[in-house]
Amino acid sequence: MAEGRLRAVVATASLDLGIDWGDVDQVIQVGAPKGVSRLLQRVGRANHRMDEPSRAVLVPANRFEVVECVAATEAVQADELDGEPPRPGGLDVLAQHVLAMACSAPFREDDLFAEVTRAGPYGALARQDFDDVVRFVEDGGYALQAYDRFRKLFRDAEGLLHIRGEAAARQLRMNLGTIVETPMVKVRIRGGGVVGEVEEWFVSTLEPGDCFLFGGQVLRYERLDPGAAVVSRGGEGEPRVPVYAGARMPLTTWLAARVRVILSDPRRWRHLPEPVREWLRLQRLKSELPPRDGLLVETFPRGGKWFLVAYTFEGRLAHQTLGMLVTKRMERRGLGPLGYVGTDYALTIWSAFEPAGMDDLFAEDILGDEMEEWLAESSMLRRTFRNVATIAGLIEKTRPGQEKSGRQMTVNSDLIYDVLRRHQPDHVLLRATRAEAAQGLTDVARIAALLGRVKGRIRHRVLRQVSPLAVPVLIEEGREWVAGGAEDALLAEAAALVQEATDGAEHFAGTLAEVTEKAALRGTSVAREKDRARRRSRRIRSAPRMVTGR
Amino acid sequence: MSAAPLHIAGERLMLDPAGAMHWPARRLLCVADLHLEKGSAFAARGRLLPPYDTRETLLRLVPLLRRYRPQRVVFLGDTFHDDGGAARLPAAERAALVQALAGIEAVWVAGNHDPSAPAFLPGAAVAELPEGPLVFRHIPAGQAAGEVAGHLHPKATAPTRAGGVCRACFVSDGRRLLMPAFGAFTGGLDAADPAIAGLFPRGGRAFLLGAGRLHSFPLAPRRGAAARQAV
Repeated sequence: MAEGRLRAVVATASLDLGIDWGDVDQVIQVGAPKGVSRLLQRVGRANHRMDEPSRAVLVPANRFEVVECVAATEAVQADELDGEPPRPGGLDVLAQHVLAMACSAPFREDDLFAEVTRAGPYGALARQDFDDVVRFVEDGGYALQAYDRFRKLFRDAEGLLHIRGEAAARQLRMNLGTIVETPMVKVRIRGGGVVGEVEEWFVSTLEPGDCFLFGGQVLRYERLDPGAAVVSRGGEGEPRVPVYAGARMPLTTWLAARVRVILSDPRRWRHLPEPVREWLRLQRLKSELPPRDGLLVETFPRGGKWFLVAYTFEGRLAHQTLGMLVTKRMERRGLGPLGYVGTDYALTIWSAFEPAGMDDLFAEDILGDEMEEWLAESSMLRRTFRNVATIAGLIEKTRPGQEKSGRQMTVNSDLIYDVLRRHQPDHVLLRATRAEAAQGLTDVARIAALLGRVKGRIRHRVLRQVSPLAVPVLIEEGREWVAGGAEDALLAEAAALVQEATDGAEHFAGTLAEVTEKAALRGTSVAREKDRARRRSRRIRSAPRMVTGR
Repeated sequence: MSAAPLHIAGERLMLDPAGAMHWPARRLLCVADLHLEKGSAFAARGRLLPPYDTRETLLRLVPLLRRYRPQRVVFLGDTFHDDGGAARLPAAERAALVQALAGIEAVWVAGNHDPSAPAFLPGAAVAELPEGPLVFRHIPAGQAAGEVAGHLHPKATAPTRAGGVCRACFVSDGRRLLMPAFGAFTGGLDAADPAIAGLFPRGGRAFLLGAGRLHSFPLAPRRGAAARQAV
């Protein structure tokens, strides 16, 4: 690109900062910018010169994002910037650093501590945490002294720490880096070559015969071989499109507030395009607009589940925390929460039974007891643990030549998490996980402010179907699953249904899904084939995460 | 915890939702694929996994021994993650295992991970155990009638009205019983995988482990399974 040989580059957030290409003519921002400063940074990539203006085209991906783009450009014009404070450094990254330092030369702990704490992110690092990290690198840092003979570091007579053995050093080098990649699978044409890579979870949603669009052609999925998904050209039916779930930035608090103001005030809609205005008018007709200070909650049945959508506008991170808390309360009330998704604009929860008692579900005291326990059960914490354990070197990322047997070489990080949490809950990696997750989740004070603000002002609308405002929210990715009682209740229900439908006969091939699908549709009027297919794919996608249930 | 009856070769076996099988007529309890000391096996290769997996697995086993009071316990292979696993058992865990097995006849069926018997543990080591009309072996063999096997760590995803739920499971077609893996660090292989589905060409049932009970789902017969296996 810098040499001018490429006409365009499609980039993630990786090109936000630190690139100085003078001759970029045009920036196209797909999706909402999620922050005023971030928008300015991106626009500034174009025409990167001091004396000329930069221009960009914003392409919002849904109606909420249109509102957000308008809010962001208004903020730019008003010269109001936002931004996030720097985060403290992670203990998992420190663990990798300690081992890397030992690989380069023997060191004294006091010296390394002094050096590390000179770096901004580790300025407030407690000596205890540092010592625990060193012990983790040394022998795992377990209360049970089992790994003495497997230690990776040893101390000489002068108190210097050395790496023990070339194998440990090689392992470190192979796994260096603090970005944990989503597992990928190669796509190979039968009898031909590899055409690219898709994310593993996407392959897990495919059944033989399904086709998908890839590299400008339609491919038919045949089977998963070790190391590659085997496909052939062509195929029938509507092709699926692989999705790559990259990192996503949360909407800044400040921009969220601006969005809220625009939505609640029809006089400010005149800057919005007609389809968006119509969407908001329709919402006013079918349900109502989110009030300025209170909270609008909608509930409606869909696809065998009940959905609850709360328009809280507090940003994705706050919604994830809130989702965790509210679902826990729902579980206690026997409502069978199944999962939730927090977008920047709303919190959506789906449950087995009809939710009721909004004042109770969104009461301030959900912040009260057992917060720690709630956090520990969440799928987000499990995912965070996987990343922390990989960066810290507990789980292997790669080992050349062994990708093939990758599955056998690893232990499911969820199993490790469960065992470690039960037998040594204060282990340094669990502490690092909680700290990391706490940064991902917005602080509790902000949710407390929200719950306080809406107290007694919750508008609950029971709808017969999804509302206009809820549509962009429902198709959002990034769902969290609620592990717990509902899963077992559903299993029992599904097993009973199968029994009933087949009268105990063993003969049916693949009709199981159909049976439960029919059952799922009880109580709803129309079942479209397309909708059914989508649900099926979502169901299967959830499978890898659900493995963690046990 | 309620166990579910299953009849194989005319024998009534009880499947326990904890992942064990009890044969009341012979007072026999069977568990498969404990993979004890998997944590330390990884540690020896430089991955310092938590050393608590053996402790955790034994904590799951002991209540079963208390409940069923079996005369005999059949460990259906891969009881240890590797041949050196038994030697690495921490003293406390070794004592716990010996104590748990006091007064019980232990049978150690050889697995591919642990072909040799744990020398210092009580009980007999066998390649496979014929018992009445049943035969206990680690890796399922061609002939199915009356076979109880492990090795494959079956799990299955059941479709429910609100999405799939994936659990470890027993699999059986009334001729053969495939045991779930019992260990704390053992993952699973989908029952739809040819390696498992191929063993049940005429279909079968998966019994998913639940909290307190099993959940039974039919397993589809495999079209062209024989042909695929031949390839």
